[in-house]
Amino acid sequence: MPEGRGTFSELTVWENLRLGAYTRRASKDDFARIQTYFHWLGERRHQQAGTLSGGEQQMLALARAFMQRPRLLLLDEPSLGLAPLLVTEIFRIVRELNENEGLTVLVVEQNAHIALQAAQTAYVLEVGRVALSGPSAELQAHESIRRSYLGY
Amino acid sequence: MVSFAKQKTAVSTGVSLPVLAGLAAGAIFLVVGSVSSDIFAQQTVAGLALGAVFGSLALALVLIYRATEVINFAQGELATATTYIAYQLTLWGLSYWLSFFLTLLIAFALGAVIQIVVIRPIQHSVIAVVIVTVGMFILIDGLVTWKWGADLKFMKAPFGNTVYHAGGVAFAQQDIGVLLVSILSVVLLWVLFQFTKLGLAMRAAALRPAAAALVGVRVNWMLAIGWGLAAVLGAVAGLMTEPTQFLQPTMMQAILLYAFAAAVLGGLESPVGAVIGGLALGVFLNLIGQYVGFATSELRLPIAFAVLLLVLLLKPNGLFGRKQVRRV
Repeated sequence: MPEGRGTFSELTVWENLRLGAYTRRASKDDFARIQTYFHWLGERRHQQAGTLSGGEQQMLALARAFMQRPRLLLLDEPSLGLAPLLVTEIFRIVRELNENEGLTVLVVEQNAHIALQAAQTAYVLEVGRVALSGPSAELQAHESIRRSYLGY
Repeated sequence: MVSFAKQKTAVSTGVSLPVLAGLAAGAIFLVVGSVSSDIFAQQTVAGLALGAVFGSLALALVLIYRATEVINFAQGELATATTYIAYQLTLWGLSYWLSFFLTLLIAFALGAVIQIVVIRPIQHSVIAVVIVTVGMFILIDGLVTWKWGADLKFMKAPFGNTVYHAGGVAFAQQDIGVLLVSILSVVLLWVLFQFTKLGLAMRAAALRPAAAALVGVRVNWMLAIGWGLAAVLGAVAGLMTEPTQFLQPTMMQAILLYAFAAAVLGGLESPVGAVIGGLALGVFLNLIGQYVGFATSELRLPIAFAVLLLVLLLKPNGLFGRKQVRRV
């Protein structure tokens, strides 16, 4: 899922999902399963994606990425331009996908607080090098991380 | 490579209420006129047939414009060339309709090959593509004249010369046939775009090439198919022009200008707009020619563009166009 969503805003919600499954044959199950995570997708299937709110578009982008049945889901800045409440919601769903579907997720995120909460393992990059890595819980407790990224 | 720079956000969703009301009023006017006057009815049907040809060529322009943001100036000449191919096939003894469908296949291949060979290497530059289509206009025109000569050629009449009478109104079978074939090809294309996976992928590739590539759509192939389909529509327009204009190398040049007017009238981005623009233009020109004394056939093109200018002054994005904001 690229930064800035890459949603086809002129197409409908459903068409966006169908495009997600472009490389394979999507079944009814896929559409049903995605709706267990995003309940609203079904009833708004004919809505133009561009008329969704920012958070909804982000969720649609996530749903579309999931329709591709990835073995590894790459998320580039999923919190970009979203209200804090929606960021929490997005990360909740990402976690759910991770736990229920066994989907491996790699998130690049500047919101260190929420990223560390959601992830099991974290890497801190500084000028392109891994400066620190380890289980998220450890990093969260790490002194320098707390100062530079979490701000307390 | 595709870039992320092409990001458009649709602001309004196209058709506005005044436009719809205007079109409805126009349609009612045509129906009432046709019921009260036989000549009016005849001219309306003939105008619709003419307009359907404008509409299919306009749709070809719109298809390519949506995908490439370029007007294909060679679209008309390509249509002429494919019509000559059909003519050649009938000369070799094939029946009209067999030649017709074979020609559509050939047109598809021709359009796709042109995109792959000529357009693809330079598609990063809009202005280069425009210049190349102008070059192709001259090239194809030259090739057609060289191969078949500049004199008039005649094909078998596809629909016969029967005239139907309904009440006092005479409908030429040819007009009805042209109208049906054009509308049918437009409807088939719409079904392809709206209901098939290929059509969805083509729309995605045209709207957002970068995002389409990310979900696995082969954007370059979609563009080639788009050019192929545009050439098919052009071929339909050419073949449906031939019965009234006869075959000559310049056959589609005026039609291309009308088609361009129709496409701009409809909003250039809107397939529905192109077809409705074409139909409206055809009917309008025919009725003006019938009822307004000074509007002789030499004045038709200027009148068409005067109308276009007027519409664009009121609605700069065309009847079905949408305002676009570019995110930088």
